[in-house]
Amino acid sequence: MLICEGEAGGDYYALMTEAMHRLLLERGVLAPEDVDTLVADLTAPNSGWGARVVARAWVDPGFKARLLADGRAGCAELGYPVREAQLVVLENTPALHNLVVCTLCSCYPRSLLGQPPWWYVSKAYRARAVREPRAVLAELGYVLPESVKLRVHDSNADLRYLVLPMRPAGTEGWDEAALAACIGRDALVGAAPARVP
Amino acid sequence: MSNPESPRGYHDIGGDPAGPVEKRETVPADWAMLSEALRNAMHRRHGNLTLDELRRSFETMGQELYAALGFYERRAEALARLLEEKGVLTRAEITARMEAIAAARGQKVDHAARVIGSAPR
Repeated sequence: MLICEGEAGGDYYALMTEAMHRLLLERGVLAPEDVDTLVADLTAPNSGWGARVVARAWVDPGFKARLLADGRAGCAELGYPVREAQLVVLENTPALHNLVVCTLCSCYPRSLLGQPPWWYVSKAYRARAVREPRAVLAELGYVLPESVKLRVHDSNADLRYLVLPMRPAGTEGWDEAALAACIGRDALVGAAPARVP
Repeated sequence: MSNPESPRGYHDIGGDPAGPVEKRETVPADWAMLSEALRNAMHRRHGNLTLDELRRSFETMGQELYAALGFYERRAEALARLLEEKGVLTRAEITARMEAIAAARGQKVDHAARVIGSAPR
């Protein structure tokens, strides 16, 4: 049996969420500002934050060493608090590429990168990324050379990953903002390389 | 595939065969973010409804439901179950309010099919 992602119930659960929200506010279980603050916390982080962390690591070897030693402390230096779990930073090299998955659920460094892409939480990715990662990468548009070793990291509730992609050739002397523009969302979990835009 | 000699949870799908990975881009709906925020707010204000509890809820709601629902739908269903389990809101209170909101919009709710439709004239 092939595993497919469900699609059912969007309108139904939108209404259920509205009902739960109204009831919780009416009964004083939650205050409006509780919910508003947390919606803002959920929607503020984005892959641009992760790109800035990577760009800093590319230009500052001391920062890179600290980031690789303790991902959460490194992100905090740039003002990004990673709240949900430990953060391990995985460095790609010419010989080794890292890919991140969460086979059990959808663990992702949301407080840094925001909500994960649809394909990341899809059951097809969760199931197959650990069995045939090169094929999965190709489906996502990245054909990894056979000579490069591929390591897959399975996230969990207490441990999240950020990939530090390789700096593209031809970017010598670029400033951090220009470098950050080379780093897309998918590169931060190893599903794409960093690329000159 | 589940192996009766070594039973796994239905959510434990790493390594199973599955279809192609679709590179679809969808932004989570506002209601999905609200549902996530409700769970986070309950945790922050009252110390219950942890993420681990949410996972336990959708990992025990039954394979059929887990398979049928989308990602955020599954989590909203788990939230409703936890609110009832914690004695915060009953399912009956939630569904009654859903029907009242829908009725005010000229809609009706089919809870069995989990769909909202136009009310018969």
